[in-house]
Amino acid sequence: MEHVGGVEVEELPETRQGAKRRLLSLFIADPHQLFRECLARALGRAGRFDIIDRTESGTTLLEKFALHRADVLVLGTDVPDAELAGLIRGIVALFPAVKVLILGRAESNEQVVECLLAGAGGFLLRDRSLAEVVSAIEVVARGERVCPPGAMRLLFVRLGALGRERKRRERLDRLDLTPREMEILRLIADDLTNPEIAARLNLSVHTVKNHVHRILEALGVHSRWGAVNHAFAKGWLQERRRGV
Amino acid sequence: MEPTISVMILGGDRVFAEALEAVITGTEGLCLCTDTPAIVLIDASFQPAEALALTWSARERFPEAQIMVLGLEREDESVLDFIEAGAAAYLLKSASPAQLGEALRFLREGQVHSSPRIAAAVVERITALEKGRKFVPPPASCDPLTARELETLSLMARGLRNKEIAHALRITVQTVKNHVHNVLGKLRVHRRRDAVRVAYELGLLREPWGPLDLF
Repeated sequence: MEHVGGVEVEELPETRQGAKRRLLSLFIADPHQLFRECLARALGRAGRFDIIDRTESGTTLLEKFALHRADVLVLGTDVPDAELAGLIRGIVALFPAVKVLILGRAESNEQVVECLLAGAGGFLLRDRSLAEVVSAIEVVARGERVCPPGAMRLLFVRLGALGRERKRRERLDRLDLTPREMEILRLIADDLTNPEIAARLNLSVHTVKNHVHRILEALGVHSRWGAVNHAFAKGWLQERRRGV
Repeated sequence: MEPTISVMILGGDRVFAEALEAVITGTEGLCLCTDTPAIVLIDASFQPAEALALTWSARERFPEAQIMVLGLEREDESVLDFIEAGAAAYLLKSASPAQLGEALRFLREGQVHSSPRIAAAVVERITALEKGRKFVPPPASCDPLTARELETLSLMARGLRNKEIAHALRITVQTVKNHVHNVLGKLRVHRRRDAVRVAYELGLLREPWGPLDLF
């Protein structure tokens, strides 16, 4: 409970909260004038937004937006979905801070994914309710992303494919060294000198030197220390061993 | 009537697995399956690291199946690791059996319901991974290798030196050098290591690990 001059001020915390949650500024773009105006009015009534401007979503959009930047750009569009990703990339390149919420028809989930990867903060299908639009605006303003479930599935699949590719690349990276070289690298990591490695593996010191030279060359490093670090960073070696 | 979804349970505690089995057997539209599941459920509640490894291997073992990870603590980065490993969906510890049934039905319809926070994190990681890809245009094809060159290449892949290859194939070192020279030329690379790498990319050599030998 806050006390100001001995008087209980109950509304203070609320006022503070209100001050912290300043109104989000919105810019509404949609080719359909009646829809645009109605949406602006309805969103304005929600009491959480400050509607800065509205316009058609054609070529004039970028010029107009430059004059009245807003936190969130609500972009309804008759731009074919295929071109939408390009438009978003343009907006994000020019105004990196703006969050773009698309109100679209989404001809396909693939295109929704393309829009999100192009930098859109969210994609809301036009059959969603007004209340959902309101909460979606708040979500994208926080830096989170609104994504329909069908497109979400595709995002997961895409990340899965990239994950597999990464795993495969890591395994191929390991092939930069032959099994023998990997064995020697392990011993280098154990702090053995070349003569010690030679004795351990029954090789001549000269041969060990050659191997070490090839290891450094293959990994693109300049020192034994660099090679060992590389191996740990890649997860080829798991732990430091002492006294082996 | 909707076709039955066949479900397999992997990992996790026995008692949880059995409880889960009981729920699945008792739910219309779901059945247990041991060979070709449509859905693989993996419990990650107690040993997330093992569950992650299990997800990687389940994806290789059951390429047709969709994997759902159960029992995650919260929606954070760890969720992304499972998705990278091939999970198609996930449920948190706090989910109810009804939500499990719902998630399974959504999955069949090609839908995943997730939070905006995870959506943002997924988009971010995809972008990072796509940027981090070293752009090495893999050659679409190469001039065909002779049987002898292919043999030489497979020995190169095992790390053998020219002298050792010569010994193994009972040919002179000079002949080996010629073969190696031709292989590098045909694969358009300069180093033996790169030749081996490209050979795997093109499928000329089989990668030296089985589907389960991921770690």
